[in-house]
Amino acid sequence: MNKANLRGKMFAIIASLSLVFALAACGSKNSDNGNNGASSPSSTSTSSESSSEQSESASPKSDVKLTLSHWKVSFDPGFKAVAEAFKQKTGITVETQTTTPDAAYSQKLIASAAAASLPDIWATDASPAYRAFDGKAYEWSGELSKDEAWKKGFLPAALSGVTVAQANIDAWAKDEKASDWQKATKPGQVYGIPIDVGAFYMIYGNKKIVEQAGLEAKEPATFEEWVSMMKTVKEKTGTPGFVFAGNVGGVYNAWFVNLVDYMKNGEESFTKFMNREEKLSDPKHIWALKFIEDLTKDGLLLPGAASLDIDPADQAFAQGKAAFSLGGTFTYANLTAIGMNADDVFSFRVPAFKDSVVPDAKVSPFPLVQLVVNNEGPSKEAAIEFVKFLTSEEGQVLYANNAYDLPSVQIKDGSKLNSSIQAMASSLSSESNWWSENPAIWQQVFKEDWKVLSTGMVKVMLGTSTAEDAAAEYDKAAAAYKKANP
Amino acid sequence: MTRAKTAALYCILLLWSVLCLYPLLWMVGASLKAPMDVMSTFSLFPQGKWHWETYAEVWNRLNFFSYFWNSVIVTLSTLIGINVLYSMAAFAFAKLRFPGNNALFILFLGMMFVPGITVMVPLYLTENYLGILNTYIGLILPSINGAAPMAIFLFRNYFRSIPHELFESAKMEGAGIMRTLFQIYLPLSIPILATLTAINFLGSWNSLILPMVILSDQSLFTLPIGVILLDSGVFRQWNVLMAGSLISIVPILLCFGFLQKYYIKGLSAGAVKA
Amino acid sequence: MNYRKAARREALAGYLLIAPAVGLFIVIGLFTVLFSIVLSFFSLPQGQLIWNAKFAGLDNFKDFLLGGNYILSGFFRQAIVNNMWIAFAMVVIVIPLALIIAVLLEKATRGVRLFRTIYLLPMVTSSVAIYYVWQGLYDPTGSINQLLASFGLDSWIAKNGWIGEIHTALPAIIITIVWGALPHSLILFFAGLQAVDTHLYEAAEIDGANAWQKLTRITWPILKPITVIVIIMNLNVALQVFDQIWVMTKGGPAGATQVVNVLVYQQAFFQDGDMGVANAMGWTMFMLTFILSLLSLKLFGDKSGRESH
Repeated sequence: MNKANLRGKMFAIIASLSLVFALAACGSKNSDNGNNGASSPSSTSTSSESSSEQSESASPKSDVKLTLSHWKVSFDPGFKAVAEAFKQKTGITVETQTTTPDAAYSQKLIASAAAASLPDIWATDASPAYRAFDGKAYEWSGELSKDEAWKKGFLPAALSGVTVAQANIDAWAKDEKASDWQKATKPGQVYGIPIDVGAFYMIYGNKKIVEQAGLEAKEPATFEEWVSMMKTVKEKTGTPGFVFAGNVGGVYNAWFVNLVDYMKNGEESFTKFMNREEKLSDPKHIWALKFIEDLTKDGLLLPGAASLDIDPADQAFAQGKAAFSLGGTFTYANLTAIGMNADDVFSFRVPAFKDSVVPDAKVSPFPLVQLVVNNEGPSKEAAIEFVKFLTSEEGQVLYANNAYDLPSVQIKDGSKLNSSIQAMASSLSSESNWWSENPAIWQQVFKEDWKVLSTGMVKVMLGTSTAEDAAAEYDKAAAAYKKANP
Repeated sequence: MTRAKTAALYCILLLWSVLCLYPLLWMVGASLKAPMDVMSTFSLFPQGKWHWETYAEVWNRLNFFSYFWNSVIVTLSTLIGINVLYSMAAFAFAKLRFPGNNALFILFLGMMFVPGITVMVPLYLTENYLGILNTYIGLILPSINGAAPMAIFLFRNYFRSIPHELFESAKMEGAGIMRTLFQIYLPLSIPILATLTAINFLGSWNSLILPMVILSDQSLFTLPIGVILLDSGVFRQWNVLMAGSLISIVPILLCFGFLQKYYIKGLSAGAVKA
Repeated sequence: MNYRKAARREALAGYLLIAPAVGLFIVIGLFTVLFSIVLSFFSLPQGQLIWNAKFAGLDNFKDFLLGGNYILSGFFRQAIVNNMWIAFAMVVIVIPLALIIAVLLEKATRGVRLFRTIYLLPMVTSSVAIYYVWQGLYDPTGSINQLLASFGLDSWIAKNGWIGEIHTALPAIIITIVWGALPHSLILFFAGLQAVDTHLYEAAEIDGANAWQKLTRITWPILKPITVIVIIMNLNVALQVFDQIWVMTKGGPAGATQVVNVLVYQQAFFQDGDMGVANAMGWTMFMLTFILSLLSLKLFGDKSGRESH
């Protein structure tokens, strides 16, 4: 009896399950899959399906099918749009594979590199020879010099940001974590093609809140003026002044501290600081924690900012919970996607202290994401062709407009771009300067010891440590780091 | 029991029920609110309009139906594999004498503590070597293997709780080992089968990191990946995320609802009478 | 003679029965485990290919255990302390609480099935989604703070959210873990209580035994082996905890909720990490869990192990 009973129940489970889902499936078919709303990118449909039918007669046929792996759902519509146009032109199919979150993507990429099962094309953060997996990546310098027109199309900073420089090789030579392959690279080699550019060091302000406090919504002349703006806002409206992703160590360190410190102290002192030859507790540099301490004391930070990730921080700002927010050029697309009215935002470069040595440092854009082609892939030629198309002017317009990303190439006819992208692109300087030429120095903030600074910063933010104590903690870690990595 | 005592008893039981239910009700409430209201209003359920359409939107957007079937295929195969493979092994551990019996049993138990996250890359390499990456098999085999310690432990204890005379008499009648297991012991083991089915249904259905690493073809994705994809937009749409999560746990709720009675019986026999 | 033949046949049958399980383990598990163990003695910086691994001896272990790497060992110390707090809570809070609720549930006469179903829900639904919910509850403007505010308990409010303050973050995380893990312990105890023969209680009552005697003589012997299982299970949960923390805090604020598995994950898959160190940490935790489990077996399970068979 028992057994029959269970069998009956099993049947009931399966039957009711099928019913529930069959019903739901039926219901859903009527409404088709027109996903509306900017924030709902469809991440499932493969790009090949949509184009193959219409293009049957007109476009050339090809059996070649490429796979492009990446980790940004918001970029996917951009890749798909380019893939569709590419299919029309060449008949080659490009399918995109999105793996999120980024840790899962990197996990998969590392594993597939080790297993020699890499896709035809993969996206990574843009950096020289990054994720090239010891020669598994195609080297582009030959192709670049062969196709001069294509090469010339790039913004200079975009291409230099992915080109192996002597400084990189010197750094790898000293780095015990670098591989022999990396050490054997040559200056001028390129292992990834930049598909976008961007910059950090942007402060976004909420116009409404600032004006409500009786202030003019414009760029403050100095750091001090900016802080006093926040104070006024707090007094007049009760809204805290500042929010940023406190739980993501790199945000404060790499989007704010390094540039402000460079402006304040100039090349020489800043370089020493980055090389851990000057201490954080030095009166010249301790501002980085003092600033947070003061904000906390005056209640100018959004409560809970210490545990925010990047997107929630943007969201809090968009909801008017704080007057200012820290971000980059890419933040703008986020804010508008969340539904913030573009007219309600004003933005400026992070301000410099009053007596800064280099107060007018220009922020030049650098590449954010690069595409790497599998050197051992079965359809290497097709993959090269696709990446070249994606970074042609035509491809970049398609990509940028659909991914809300800034193009890495010069777009002669700016009107082809979305107005917001166009505005953002024109605000960036493309001239070369000390900052853009010395990434190896300011990128020290990504090293291990800076994690200790992040931890200390959060402690100061939450009032469990003073700026001095936290600075001393960091200095100890920095000394240990320097000892281990002379 | 006095009246007062009974009242106190039920008060505590009710209080704990509220604690168990609150987060789930919050989920349901959140899925029905407008996206911006989720974190800004205190009330559990929407105060204005109830946005049922979120469910339809989620269903359409992520092709949940195909994810659902993938999950069903993977989970069912995993469950069958676990119950067949480990009832056999546990039967040998429980009833048969052979050199290495105990050592092998302890080895299997020790696997329980293997750090799951650490072995992900080596597992990927193994699967690549075997050519089962990006397939259902590549997902099913590690899931079965991962369930070994618990399954063998529970099966073994359960088989031991069945009077040994049964084994002896089957032997007398000349029944082979296989027949004894499949025709005499397993039919008596429905509660423990139900327990293991319930536990592993949960594990397999909710498993996230493994399929994320093993699968790259979107047509093979399972439900939890679908839910995560709902959360990868620019900002978190709480209502969408909660609706997707709720859809994904309905099958588990149903499964547990039906298996609950056997689940507890099996536990009490498999673990309690150890 | 005949006996020996029968024994041989029995052994053969035994091997045949375990063959598929062992086979699967060899194919899927063995290489994976061995590879991972071997890797823990090599240095393999994140992003490098396997063949760039360099033999490092015990350096990986020295790095985080003995301060070989000042920064990493600081983080590891903090993480292991947090893991231990979680383990402590998983034993000292979960077990009595689960036992009490199980006893009360056993005593109830009505609605047992309904209560039981409700009590299982946290286990059934514990997936990534539910951690998002907890994150929402702990938010600076979340339900808990709003509830406190509505009672006028403003001084109790965690201004930066319950997982946002250094002192409340770990307790808050522990509550979430306990919430999700309690059902399993509860249901095991409940199953155990149901297995107690009620006649034994009646007989004891006739003999004039008091409640304490009934508890120690009848109930505890049945519950003891379950308690061992529950302890081992909960220790394993506490030392392997990852999902909750990764979703809710990523180890923050300022490392207040940092646990070893989060460090392992960061070492294995983030820039600046080292796969060898990640594996070394993972296997260190394996050893720790194993030792603690053996210890609890020794403490509680001495007799129960031998009684059967």
